[in-house]
Amino acid sequence: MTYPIKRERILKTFRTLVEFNTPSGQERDVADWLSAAMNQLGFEVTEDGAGRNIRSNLAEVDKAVHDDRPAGNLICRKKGTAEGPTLLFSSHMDTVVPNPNVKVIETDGVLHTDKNTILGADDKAGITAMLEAAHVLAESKMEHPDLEFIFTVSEETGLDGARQLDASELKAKAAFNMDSGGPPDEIIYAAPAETDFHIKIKGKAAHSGVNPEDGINAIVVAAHAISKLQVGRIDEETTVNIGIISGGCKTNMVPDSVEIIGEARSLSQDKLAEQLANIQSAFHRAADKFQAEVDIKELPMYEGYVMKASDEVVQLAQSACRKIGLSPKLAPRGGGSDANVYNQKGIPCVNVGVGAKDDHTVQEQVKIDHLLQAASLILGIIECSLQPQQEQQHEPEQEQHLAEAL
Amino acid sequence: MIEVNRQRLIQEFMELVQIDSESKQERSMADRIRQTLEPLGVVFEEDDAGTKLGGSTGNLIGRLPGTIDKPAILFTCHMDTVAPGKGVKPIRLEDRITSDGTTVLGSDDKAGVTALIEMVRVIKEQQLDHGPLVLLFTICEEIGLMGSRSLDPSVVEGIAYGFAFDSNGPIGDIVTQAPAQNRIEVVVHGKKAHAGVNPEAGISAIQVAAHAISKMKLGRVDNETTANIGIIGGGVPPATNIVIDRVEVVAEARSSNLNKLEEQTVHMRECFEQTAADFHTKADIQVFQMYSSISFPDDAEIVSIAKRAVTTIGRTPRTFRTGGGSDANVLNGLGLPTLNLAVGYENIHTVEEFIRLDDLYLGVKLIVAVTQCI
Repeated sequence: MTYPIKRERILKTFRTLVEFNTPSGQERDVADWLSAAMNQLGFEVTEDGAGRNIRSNLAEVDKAVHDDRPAGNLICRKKGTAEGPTLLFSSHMDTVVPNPNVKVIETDGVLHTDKNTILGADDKAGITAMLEAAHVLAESKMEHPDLEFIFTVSEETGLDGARQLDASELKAKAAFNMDSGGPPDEIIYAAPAETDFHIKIKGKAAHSGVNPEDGINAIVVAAHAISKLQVGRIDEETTVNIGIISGGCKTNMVPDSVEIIGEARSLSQDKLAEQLANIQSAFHRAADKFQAEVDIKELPMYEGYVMKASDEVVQLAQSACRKIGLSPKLAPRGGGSDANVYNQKGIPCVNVGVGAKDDHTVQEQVKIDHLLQAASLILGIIECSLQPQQEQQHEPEQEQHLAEAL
Repeated sequence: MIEVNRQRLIQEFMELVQIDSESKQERSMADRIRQTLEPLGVVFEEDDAGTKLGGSTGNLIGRLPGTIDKPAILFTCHMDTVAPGKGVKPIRLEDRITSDGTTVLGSDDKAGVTALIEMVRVIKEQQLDHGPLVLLFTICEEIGLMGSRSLDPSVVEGIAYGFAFDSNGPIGDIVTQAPAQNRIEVVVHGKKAHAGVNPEAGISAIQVAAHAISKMKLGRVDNETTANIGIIGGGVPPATNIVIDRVEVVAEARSSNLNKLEEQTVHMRECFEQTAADFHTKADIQVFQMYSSISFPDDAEIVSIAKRAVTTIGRTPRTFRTGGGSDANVLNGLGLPTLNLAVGYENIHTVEEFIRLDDLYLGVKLIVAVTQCI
């Protein structure tokens, strides 16, 4: 099955989108543009108060780099032309830095930059796919159920925009987050929960040459704690990382403080709790050993989700993949996305690949074919949702794969 | 009998501490010293340390020719103060001078500067005979002895002994042992990866650094050796989701025993290198020799001179070991045997800094006495 998507229009949309400089908190311009575009395509657009709420929680220094009239999430609704479950598609408007003056270069069907900036396919490839699907729906007589197209803000800072969504305003029973780095035939059925930890160790200052015995070196305390920790890949569904360490200001002082920021993730809530307990105990033991003080704050970032192959949202994504000639693969992912938030809010959601490769780096690239496939996939999902769920051929192989991955 | 004009001395000190001279901003102090001492026959040159360090003046080297044939000696103190050292308002109490509690006093080391100035006045007034005297006023002592470390080695040529007047302790205390210091700058390399997606593809530089540091002998290693990890930094806030590929660590090792210093430095280097190898990565390590040691036995000639001078002014000499560095370390490194004499200042580097009037007075007498004990 092919849909009347237009390659040239997709490329133009993508180029237009990536030219907006959109660090998190500065999505105003792209939001206004998108809002107008969606309106023209027959969607009713509302902007929520996420931007203002996020801004009001920021420290003063961070407010300076945020828009003073920050954009909220855009919720775009289109009334269905046929009976069927309301479908939600989502992508995010913000990008990581460096993002200004993106120059898109095409090489052998792949879009990339001059390596001075990121490309921003994460997640403007997702927005592009959604816009193209909206174009096709507007131009064709293709039937569709009620649709909720959502464009979130501040995803990259920790899913802050999606968190602000008011789920009671959403009717969708199945959601598709167009924001995975994989190709469009890869359906992310599981993603970990993440909890960050902020650790402060307080030692005691002293002159390093005169009376070091009177001091307590906070860096040494941290080193002992970290050396007792398992970090990196803990098991197939669990990871731990120390992302930031900072302490001390001069070499002739025994440093009296050090700060550490890290994260733990797991598909299993129990395993996540176990890792956090290990971290607590490693730091408290080291602090006790050296008579230092330690303060550990745990910040739950998002909950995880694990779908079954038989879940409707997974089925829909797989059927749509087949419909457009791809063979779907189910995969877990190590990172969080707005999909975690939708699931947390009670809307079953899978994350769908839009093909942004090497995202968050200046090597970021996306295949044009993947942009086209992602747009087709959305249309495929819409079409499949209106068909009575044909008896899915039972796929023991698939179930097996899921069981293993878990 | 050495006579010192107590009122003039206190007046001089009160004026000097009110001249702002935080590190790299010693120009006004330097001008004041020249204006005071040039009329008394001291010939000054200013070196290029200020240009090298981006400061407002270089080190001042003043020379007062001898009146009799004796070995040349050098006195040194530093012109800069730590912060907060601007707008000092000294308060004279019955027995001491303090700051008003909002700044340091700056007796570290303007008590030294005052003593050198008054010493010249006293030997002129009382027509005391002396050998050639070199008065070295350094800059940027408080920021890692940078002024003295910028000296041209030829400055110390032809000089027999050096005396820094810049140690804590009561007048009469003499630093005869102080450690040499190595600064150790380390970059621990790892390998970047996404912390949630494929951490197994990365190598956490933070983990490597932590393992290395946890194996190290640090702090008080033995009675003459210390080591410290002073600074660590790695990662880019607020990103917790990256396996960090680079951590920077700045450490130091000190010992008055150069063999032990080398041993400790090698130990720290090996901890980093070996641990990095265990994690299949590497650590780049640079060792900088910051300054050399002070190490004199109590029967050394220079120590005898200092002790005689202390006894002359009615105090009891005591030699001691310190763990800190001073310009005296640097001068020893240039080949000039140099002791560091205690000034009597207290609570330095704090806004509670003070000095007793008696110690200011005795300090001048001590310096004059040294010129007479050669």
